[in-house]
Parts: sequence; C-alpha cells; structure tokens
Amino acid sequence: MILRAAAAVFVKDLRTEWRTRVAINALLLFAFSVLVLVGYAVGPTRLTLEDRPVVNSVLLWIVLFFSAMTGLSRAFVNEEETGTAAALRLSAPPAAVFLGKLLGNLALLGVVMAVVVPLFLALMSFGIAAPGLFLAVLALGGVGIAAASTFIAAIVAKTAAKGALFAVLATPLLLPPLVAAVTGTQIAATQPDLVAGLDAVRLLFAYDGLMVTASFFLFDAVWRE
Amino acid sequence: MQVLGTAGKVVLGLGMAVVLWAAFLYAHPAESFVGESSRIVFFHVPTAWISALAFLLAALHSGLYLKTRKMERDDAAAAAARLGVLFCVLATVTGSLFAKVMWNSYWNWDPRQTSIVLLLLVYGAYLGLRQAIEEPERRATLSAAYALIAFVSVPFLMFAVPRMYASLHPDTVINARGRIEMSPDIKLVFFSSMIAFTALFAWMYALDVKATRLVRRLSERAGGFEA
Amino acid sequence: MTPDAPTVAVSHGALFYVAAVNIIIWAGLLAYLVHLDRKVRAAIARQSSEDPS
Repeated sequence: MILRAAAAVFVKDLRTEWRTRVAINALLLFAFSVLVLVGYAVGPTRLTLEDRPVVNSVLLWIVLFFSAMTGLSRAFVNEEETGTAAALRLSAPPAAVFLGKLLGNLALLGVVMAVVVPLFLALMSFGIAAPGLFLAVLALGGVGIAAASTFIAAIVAKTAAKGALFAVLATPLLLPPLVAAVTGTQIAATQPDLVAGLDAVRLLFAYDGLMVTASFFLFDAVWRE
Repeated sequence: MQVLGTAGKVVLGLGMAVVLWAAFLYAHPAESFVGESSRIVFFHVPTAWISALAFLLAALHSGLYLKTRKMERDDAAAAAARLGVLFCVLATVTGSLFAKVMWNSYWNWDPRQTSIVLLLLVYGAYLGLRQAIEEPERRATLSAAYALIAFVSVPFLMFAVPRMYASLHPDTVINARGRIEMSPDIKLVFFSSMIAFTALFAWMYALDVKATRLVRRLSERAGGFEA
Repeated sequence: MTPDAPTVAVSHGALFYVAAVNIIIWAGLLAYLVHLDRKVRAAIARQSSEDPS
C-alpha cells in the first residue's frame, strides 16, 4: 500500500522532471563544469604516482558531493514553492512521500554518478584495482548522501532561507559517510584485495541503515509541520 | 525561584577551588607525559564529557518535544545544545593546547580532533537552523527533527571514524582493556573534577533553561516572535 | 597534605599550558554567563519599553 503510493510519488516526480529536465540538466552541467575545472587544474600527470589514489578519491567525492548539494534540495523546495505540497500532503501518506522522494533523489544521483564517474576515471587516468569494492562504495555512499539530503531538503523547504541553509545543515551530517567513502575509494584504487575495504563498507552500510530508518520515522513530524 | 541557593553556590565554589588546588598541587604528574602536561586531563576530559552529556540532553529533550509538543522541552533542548557547543569549543581548544605540548603542533588532524570539529559543525548547524526560523512552534519542530537526525551521526563521529585510523590520543578514561589505568591520587582528583564540573554544568544548564523560558514568555506576551 | 605529595618543585615543564587551559575554560564559562545575563536583560528592557505596566 505504502510502497504503491511511494511508487506513485516517484513516477509523478519523474514525469514532472521529464517534461522540463531542468534538475537533471542543471546537475549534469554543474558536475561537468567542476570536472573540467578539476581536470584542468590538477590533471592526470601533475600528481606523483603515490599521491594519485588519495587526491583523486577526494576530488571524485568532492565533485559528487557538490553536485548533490546543488540538486537534491529541489525534491521538497519545489513542492513548497509551487504550492503543490498541500495537495501532496492530502493525497499520500507521509511515509510514501518520503520513500518516493528518496527514490527520486537516488535516481538523480545515480544518473549523475553514471556520467561523472567514468568521465572522472578517464580524465584523471585514475585506475581502480578493485572494481567490485569501488562500485559498492559508490552505491552505499550514494544511498547515504541521498537519504540525508532528502530529509534535510524536507526541513529546509519549511524555512525562509532555503538554499543557503541546505548545504549548512547537510554537510556536517554527510561528513562521516564521505570520509568513509573517500577511504574506501582510495583502498579500491590501490588494493585488489576486497577484504581491505571491509571497514569502510561496513561503516557506510551502518550509516545508510541508521540514516534511512531515522529519517523515515522523523519525516512525519517535519512533513506535517 | 532561584536555581541554586546561597549554600549550594558556596558548596559548588569551594568544591571547585579544592579540585583546582588538588589538580595543581596534590596529584603527581603522570608518567609518559611531557612535564606537567598530564594535569590538563583534569580540565580537558570533563569539558569533553560535559559536551557529550549536553548533546545527549539536547537529543532527549528534542525527542520529548516531538512527543509532547510542550515548548518547555524546546527551551531545554536549545539550552543543552548551546552549552554543548560551548563545552565542545573548550574541549577542542584545550585539546589543541595538549597536542602542542605532547606532539609539538596545535593541530595535526588526529581522528579525535577531526571528529570533535565535525561535532561542532553539526551543532553549529543546529543553532543556525534555529536562528533561521521565526515562528516558535515551527522552529521547535524542525530543530528537534534536525537534532535527532544529527544525533544519529554522533556515534560515527565519536567511535566509528576514529577507530578507522590510528590515533595518537591517549586512551580514553576506561581503555580498550576495560580498565582504568591511573595512579590512585590522579584517579581521586580526576573523578572529583568530573563531579565538580558536572555540578557546575547542572547549575549553568538550569540557569540557561530558566533564562530561555523567561525570554520566550516575555516575547509571547509582547506578541512578537523575536528573541 | 601527605608527606610524599609532590609540591611544585619537580618540573615546571608545560605548566604554562596547564595554566592556559584553565584560563581559557574559565574565561569561556564566564563569557557565556555574561552573554546569558545580557540576553535576559535585553528581553526585559524590550518588554518594559513596549508595555509600561
């Protein structure tokens, strides 16, 4: 029941997005500009071999993080600005709204990752020794970013200073998974052994689980405010 | 109604004075620390402990606010978060001085230093959110929700992330082997200091809650949302 | 004081830092209380100027 309603919210958002494609275009353009800036400023050859895994992992997650900060607040800010939030509040249970919006943000972030990550690897000549671990870290990091961003977007949509507040509130929450994701990426770049990255994966997994559950239950209070 | 009577204030002041005296003149400097620097433990650890206690109180009262919708809970949560940030700043600065003595640099991104700065950012953001919302009930609800979601990330900052990297930080009071390794005189002064600082915090907290409630009632009567 | 309790004679190394730690803590706590006091006073002043009862 809730899952069906969540799917309905998700599909509705997809349709609205598909009509204009504003969010996805803005996000991809932004990510691409940052990528070009990073590639031009740092480039593949300017770093020594032993510096590459560290610096490249940090840069990759900075690009992804900034893209998330520019695009993911739209989920709720748009609804409040166009005045459709009230209609949504009446037509779907809060749990479904949250899950639908979370799915939407995950999809958005997934598209950005699918474009940015291969480009980044190519532009920076960033080799990955353990692709499985790398994909796991990307997926888990993405879920963490999307979950925290969706919840913070719901809070921020109710305040006067929406855009400015979003990054301020979301950044400290996202630092633990980002630290773990950077470490995991670094390990994936250097060690083909999957077990080496287990700590980072476990931390990301725990964070994602806690963040999704906590925001799922807290969302009710924020949404009805 | 006074938060703490004259007798209570005298006891608190005298107790603090005794702790200060004992910290400087009674306890031996601990081994394996540079010079007298181990005395910093009597001040640095209580501030860190109190900031943790304050953040716990903030989360607790935030949860109770969402449950009961009583503005008193919001006052208590806000006061706890403010005091938590204050003690967290003090713990950061005193820890940084300790780092200067022990490792000859104020800041070296030790996992403990990193995680305490992240904690400051989290609760700084909480206070920023409070300032951005004018309407009291909406402010209470949204900041309570943020305080609770932020509290979820605190264990990661305090335990998980520091564990992933080697730290130079001395063992926390009860070490990994589950024992308290302190000489008896240091142990005595240390726990007295913890008690004295906790009492001081309790007084400041009660004072802040009372002040916050007063300011809120005054602005409610004036009919405005300011303060 | 017990006879074998140390006095300040041992070594003064790093004592400066211990003193600095104390000054920072007490200055911080005092500043906070002053800030609290001013907040309450400002609220009371604003209230009494708006409604002279």
